Amino acid sequence: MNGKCLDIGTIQAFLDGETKPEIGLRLSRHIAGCEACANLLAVAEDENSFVFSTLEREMNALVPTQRLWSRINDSIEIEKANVPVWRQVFAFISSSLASPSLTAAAGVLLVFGFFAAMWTLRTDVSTDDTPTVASKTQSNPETDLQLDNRKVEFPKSAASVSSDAGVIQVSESKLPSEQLQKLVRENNARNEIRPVTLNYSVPLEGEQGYIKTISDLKQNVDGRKDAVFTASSRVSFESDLAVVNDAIGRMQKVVRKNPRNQAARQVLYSAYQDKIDLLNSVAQQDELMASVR
Amino acid sequence: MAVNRKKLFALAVFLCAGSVSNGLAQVTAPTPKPKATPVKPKVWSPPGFPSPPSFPRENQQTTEKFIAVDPNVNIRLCVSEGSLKINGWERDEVRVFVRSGRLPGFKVLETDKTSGKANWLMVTNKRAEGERPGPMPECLAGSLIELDVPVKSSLSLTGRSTEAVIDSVKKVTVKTVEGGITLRNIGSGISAETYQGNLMVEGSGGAIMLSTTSGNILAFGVNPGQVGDLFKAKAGSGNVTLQQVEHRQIEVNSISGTVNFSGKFLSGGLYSFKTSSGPIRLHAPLKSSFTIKAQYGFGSFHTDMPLRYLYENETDGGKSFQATAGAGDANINLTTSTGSIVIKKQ
Repeated sequence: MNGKCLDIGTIQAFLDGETKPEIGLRLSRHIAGCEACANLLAVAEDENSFVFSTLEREMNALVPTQRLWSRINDSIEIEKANVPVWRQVFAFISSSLASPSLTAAAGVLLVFGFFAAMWTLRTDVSTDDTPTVASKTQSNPETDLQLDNRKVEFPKSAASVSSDAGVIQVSESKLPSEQLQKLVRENNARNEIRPVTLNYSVPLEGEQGYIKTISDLKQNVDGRKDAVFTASSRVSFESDLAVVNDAIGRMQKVVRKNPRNQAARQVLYSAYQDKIDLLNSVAQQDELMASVR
Repeated sequence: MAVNRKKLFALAVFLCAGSVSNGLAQVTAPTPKPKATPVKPKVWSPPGFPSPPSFPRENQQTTEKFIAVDPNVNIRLCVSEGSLKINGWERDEVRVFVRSGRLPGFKVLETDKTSGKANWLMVTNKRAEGERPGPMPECLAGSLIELDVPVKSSLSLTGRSTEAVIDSVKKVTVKTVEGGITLRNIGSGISAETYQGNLMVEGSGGAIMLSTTSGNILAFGVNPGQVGDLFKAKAGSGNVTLQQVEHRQIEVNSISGTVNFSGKFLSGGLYSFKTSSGPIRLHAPLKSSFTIKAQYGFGSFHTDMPLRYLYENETDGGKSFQATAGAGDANINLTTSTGSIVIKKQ
């Protein structure tokens, strides 16, 4: 309602007979006493009569008669009778799944059924009906397992397998151990179950070059320290090296935790560079001393 | 037979008497006193290396020599031990003076085609005739070695244990094992490297590279000879102090020492200061214009200059920020693992 007067929607509903009887009575009483609402009702009636007169033919054709309704209902009944049983069951299940509690119950039932099936299958393996698998030790642990004409190779630690049925046989592998290990690594990589969180314990790609260079330099330098340094300069060198190593260690931890931390990475690389410079200085000093012999 | 027996007896007696008298003479002869050998100065030498050429004191001499050279002469010399002073002068000649040391000499490696004077010269030890070459045979040694060289000359010096002071030459390359190096008024570039000793550069220009493992570095009033000349200083445990260094490209690195910079940050300059555990201290005028990018891992940062921060990250181990002062003309990169960074106004 717009203030005390009726709005056009209410009047339209009143005209269409969509209001409840008690509300309709109240509206008619109001319209009787309200000139504005009476005018509005009159306008709406005029519009309705215009529209209905225009669409009279189409509306008459579209509105189904009682006979048509009864024919439709009969057809539905016949169709229902002809529906197969599986479709009825399907319809029942779909309607049941619409309820959340029933869906949850079905889920629990499914999980329970899955675990029950797994448990049953596992216990079946250990029954006496299946071929027995016996282990035996051999002096050469490299073995092959022949299974249905397919050859599967085991690593050194794999147990030898034999079977009464003659399907599973064990024999020594002729492949070299490196190749065996490579095969095992490849298979493991193929069957690898990836962890949910990534493991950053290995050096990052950018670090590897530094680590290799440091390792090479260290090998060269370690043997020459005594020849190159005096006692005081040796102390100074070792102190600097300890400072750099400490910095590398601390920054490595940070970078391993979060490899995307660019600032930490930059500090880490800088520390690596310091260590390389420090080790290089020993080699250069050695070189200089050799040149002025 | 009797005569023969007598002769034989007499011969035996004579021989016995001779040997006895000889023995008595040896016993009574005075023993000559051993000559006192001069004590050689102790110069440290690492194990596995021969001792540096401790010049024979009995032959020690004070020598002075001259040679006429091209003004742009390139001089090479090696000093095994002693105090070295090289000074530039306006004459086109090289003078070498050695006090209490080896005999110096000149070896002309190349002459100028027009003037016929040496333009590549080696100042070397001149061995006396018949003298065996010892270790470091080409290196000078003495209690004091002085060289006067043309001001436009370039110098290349290697040394083992020497305190070197070089003044007013065009270009210097020095590399010594131990001992301090002081360089003044070097116009067109310096490369100085020592493993145990301090480095000081004053009033010089050109591309400058200074490196010491266990000493300090001080550079004062240094400017680039031409645009793009780099100033680079690297110390192990020592401090690096730069005052009024006007290069636009400066790289300073110290592992555990302090890095001090005091001066202007020039527009378009690239400055990089790095330490592992040592502090970085910058003193700049209040109205400086620079962009600063710092990574200081586990370190700390403090400034009393007004900075506008573009970003700041305070996570442990990954502390970093970027900030500008003024228009942000110069670029400053600061990196330290555990050291502190302090920027103060002058």
